[in-house]
Amino acid sequence: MKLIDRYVNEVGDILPDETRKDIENEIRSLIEDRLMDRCEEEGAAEPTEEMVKEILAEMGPPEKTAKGYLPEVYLIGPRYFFIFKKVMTIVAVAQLIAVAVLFIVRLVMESASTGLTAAVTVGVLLETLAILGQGLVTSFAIVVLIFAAIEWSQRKMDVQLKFWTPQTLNEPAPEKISRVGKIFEIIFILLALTVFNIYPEWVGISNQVNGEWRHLPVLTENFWRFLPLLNIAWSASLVLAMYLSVRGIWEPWSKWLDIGIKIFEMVILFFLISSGPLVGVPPQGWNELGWGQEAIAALQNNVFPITNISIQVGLGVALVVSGVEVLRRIFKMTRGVPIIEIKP
Amino acid sequence: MKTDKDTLIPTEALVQELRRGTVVMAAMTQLYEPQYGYSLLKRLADKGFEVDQGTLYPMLRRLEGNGLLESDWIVEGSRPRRYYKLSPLGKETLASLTKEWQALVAVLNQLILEEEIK
Repeated sequence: MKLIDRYVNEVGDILPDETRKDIENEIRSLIEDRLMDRCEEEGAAEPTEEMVKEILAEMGPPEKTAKGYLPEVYLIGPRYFFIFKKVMTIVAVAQLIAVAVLFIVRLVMESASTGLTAAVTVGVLLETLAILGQGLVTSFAIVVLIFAAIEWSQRKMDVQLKFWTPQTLNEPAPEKISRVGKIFEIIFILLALTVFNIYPEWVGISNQVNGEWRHLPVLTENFWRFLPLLNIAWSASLVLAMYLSVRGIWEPWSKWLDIGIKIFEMVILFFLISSGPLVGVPPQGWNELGWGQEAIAALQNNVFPITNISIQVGLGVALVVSGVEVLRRIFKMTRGVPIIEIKP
Repeated sequence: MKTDKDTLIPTEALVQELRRGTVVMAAMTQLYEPQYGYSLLKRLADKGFEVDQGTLYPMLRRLEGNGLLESDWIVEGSRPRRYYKLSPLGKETLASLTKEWQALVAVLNQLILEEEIK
């Protein structure tokens, strides 16, 4: 009867832990019942090895037997799969555009500093392709993660659908734009554009030496090389925010443009997260401030590493939140339900 | 491009689909008295309703999960068997299903009869 044990074990290997033992017992019981029946039919006193083989063959492979007991669980189910495909396509195209822009910007910068040779061009191209490859894989993982979370929470919400009544239907909200919110947005964008492009030293450490203010920028090259892309995203957001604050209502094209800009910003966020430390000061930079070695060592060894991790975690959270927001908007737009903008 | 050939469904698949919906009801009608899986399988087969064991056993577990069946492991001789029977909710549900079935059969018979007269 070792064959029965092996068969039951193989079925059990495929089953979830919580139901495995119970189902194994049930399948063993079924096989034994069928064996007894076969013995009666053939007038045998005891089941033979041949009978066991026949019955197991009739039952089919263990995978087939186990399949019926497996729950239908999806990471991304049929309900969201087509939206997932659409979002993934948008994300991939946005990354491709961003990387193409980055490639051109890098070439222009290289030609201005060291001159453009074939070796430099190939080097920049390979580096850009590596960023694209890494970006595509990671963005795929992030999008899958977000959709899996939506799928999981939707399954929980499906339970509530049992208690649905027509009274629970929401009244359609007007698609008006909060002008105050847009004005705040414009102010913040102008602020960011001014600080990062005109006064970059403001983002750093300031100290008075002999009555004179000294500024030490702390953002690294990992940040500055993405500034051209950030400028493009901020400028696009600025123009759209200005138009929307005048227009006062959402239109389909402005909604899609808004989503496009948000995805573009997400791509930049991703590049910023994966580019390495964003905060740091080269050793010679500290001379500006005239600080003691102990204070400098404390900053270099303790404050900066913690700050870098905090920034990356913060940007990661922002990326996920933006992802959920973008998906929510796409989902609502494809379902034809108006977006409700939260007023500040 | 989709052709007519792609959309053709074999009769066998349609028959299976038709029977699939009736397996639950057929099994429930036999579970006023406790039955273990294999005895239920044979009982249905003896009455002309063939069910694949790969369909019946997981279905019994699902019905139990939905509260329509109750089960107990009973040891007979040295062999444990799981006996299933209708729960009070299962009996109520079966009564509703029976009414629905009878109405459906009456309507379908009427529809078929009308077409035959034409």
